[in-house]
Amino acid sequence: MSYCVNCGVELDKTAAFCPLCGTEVMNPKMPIDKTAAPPFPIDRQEVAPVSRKEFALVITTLMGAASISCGIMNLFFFFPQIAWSVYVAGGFAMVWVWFVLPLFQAKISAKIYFLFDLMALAGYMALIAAVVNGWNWYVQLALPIIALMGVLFGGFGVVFWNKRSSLSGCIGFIGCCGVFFLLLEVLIDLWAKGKYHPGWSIVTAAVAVSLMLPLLVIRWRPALREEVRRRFHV
Amino acid sequence: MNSLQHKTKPLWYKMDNAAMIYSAIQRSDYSAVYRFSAIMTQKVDPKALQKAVDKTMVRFPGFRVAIRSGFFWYYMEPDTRAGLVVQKDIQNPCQPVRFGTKDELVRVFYYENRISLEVFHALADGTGALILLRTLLAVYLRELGYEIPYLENAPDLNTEPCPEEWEDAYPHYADSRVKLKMGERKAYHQTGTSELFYTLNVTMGLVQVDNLKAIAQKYHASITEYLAAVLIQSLMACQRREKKRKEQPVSLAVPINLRSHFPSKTLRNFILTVRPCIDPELGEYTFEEIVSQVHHFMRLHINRQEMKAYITQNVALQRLPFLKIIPSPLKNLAMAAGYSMLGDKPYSTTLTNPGIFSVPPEMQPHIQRMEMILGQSYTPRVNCAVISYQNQMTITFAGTLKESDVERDFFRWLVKDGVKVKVISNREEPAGCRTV
Repeated sequence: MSYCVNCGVELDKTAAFCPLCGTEVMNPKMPIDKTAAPPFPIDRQEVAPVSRKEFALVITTLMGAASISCGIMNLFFFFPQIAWSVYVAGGFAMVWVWFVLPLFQAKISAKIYFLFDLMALAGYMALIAAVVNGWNWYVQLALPIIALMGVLFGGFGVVFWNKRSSLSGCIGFIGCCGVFFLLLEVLIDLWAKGKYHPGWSIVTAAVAVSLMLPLLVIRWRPALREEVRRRFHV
Repeated sequence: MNSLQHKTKPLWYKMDNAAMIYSAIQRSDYSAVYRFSAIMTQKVDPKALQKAVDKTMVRFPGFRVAIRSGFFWYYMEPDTRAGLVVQKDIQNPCQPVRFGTKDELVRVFYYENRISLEVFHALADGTGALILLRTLLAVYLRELGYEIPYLENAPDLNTEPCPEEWEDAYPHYADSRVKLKMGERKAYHQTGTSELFYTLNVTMGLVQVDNLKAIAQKYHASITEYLAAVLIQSLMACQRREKKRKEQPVSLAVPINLRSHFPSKTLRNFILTVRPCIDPELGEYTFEEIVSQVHHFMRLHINRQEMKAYITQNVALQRLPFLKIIPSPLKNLAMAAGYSMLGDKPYSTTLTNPGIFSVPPEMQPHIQRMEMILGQSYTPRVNCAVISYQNQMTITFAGTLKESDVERDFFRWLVKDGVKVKVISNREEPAGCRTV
């Protein structure tokens, strides 16, 4: 019989590593028995997930019905000169992608959904641009802002997803917000005035930096963490 | 209140107090399913096992039910599908239950020498499931040609199922003048990396009962109290490594079998939990102090009067006229939200010990040991289940975390204390420990 050199527990003769600490089994006098059946089966099985399709279908039908009703009212009764029902239908379509699509397809990863969400937002903006003939602001302003959101907050999600330290997550989020507002003003200025004039975003960036710096110092200095723990204990 | 709605045959059952909660909070990443396994001395014969299952399940109608949604409450009705089919065992046990036409509330598996019985907790507690498994094993051995006598502590297969076995026992004892609520203070919850969906990491420690008993007695504690103390200490160490600004209390949910305090023949749920707790913010605790705290807490709080007050409180909730008339989908949503906000928070993990699995002397040569596994919790953490058979005890940790810090600290402490431990696991890859 083999024992784990780290944990001191006896191991199964088929075990290649200690299940507790992961240390490899290396026993020249008793090599791993690869012919014996392992203590547990190796075949996996999953219970089929509950289908939320019915619920999703009901929501889809409701949204579709509301959009069609709005379209009819728009055409014949209320303000036929303005295509307001297109905004309603487009809004429903965007909300559908955000909330109802995950009910149809539960196994797609969060990253893909984030991409879909951004595309839905871009699509809704495109619809508005088409109605008001605003392709100029759509290409020069809306699309870059959506791309900026995708890069910044998508990147934040990738880096901080499942991370234990809420302090690091908080610092990262504040940083992302600061950068977002800075670049947002750049994009707005370039579109509206053709030139970047630093303004309000500098204030938000300064606030973000002033929040981040103390948090960063606290995060990386154990002595300070202790000090904060002592002084601010609840 | 008798839930049987027919003079001779039950057409449907009302849910008992615990079953209502387990059904309402069931979701795809939480499994109120537990498993008992018997490791036989010989390789399992699936045909004989199937015959044994067919013969046994007739006597246990409460295990052949399906959960259906009524307007106000879930209820159970006899499962009319073809009989329970024994399956080849799988690596990831205690899969969640789905309520629908294909739900499997009781499952029987076999692998090499192991016969496993999985039960959804809404149907029965560990005591009820062990009676079913004991009967099933006896019938299985008879199918193999062995002479197994009538079991004293299990129903006779030749008799009709009696209503007392399927009654809701809680309301009988819900007559305390005082209603007590379990503490709602948030306890420490393990953190770590979640495994892929549907993975359940199982790590079992096999120990000798006399060896463990001698060590527990050294600390003037019972085996359960000693194991609870070791588990609390492991969780405290885990929390300390997380370097939290304020440490939270470490609390265990230890189910208590109420049948030993309130006479009842029921095979359905009849349990309460007692929650020994250590608050690390109070200061450093030595292991002896933790054992002492757990020992005195258990002795102080496991008494008829206090348990009756808890039962009264739980049953009173069920009887609230306002709550009764809320449609079941809303009620289930509220119960699930309430459980995730309050019910799951006050304890760090579960430690269950259904005790010694006893069988007649004629069955003993055919069984090596027993095992128990608890399904995945609401949050990714490990649960601990202990069961003993003769001199062999199996301590099982099961959870959905990649890291195995709690199990490792737990078994290392046992080894350090002089307990000889053999560890087996279903992990395919080495666990990612935060420390070596």
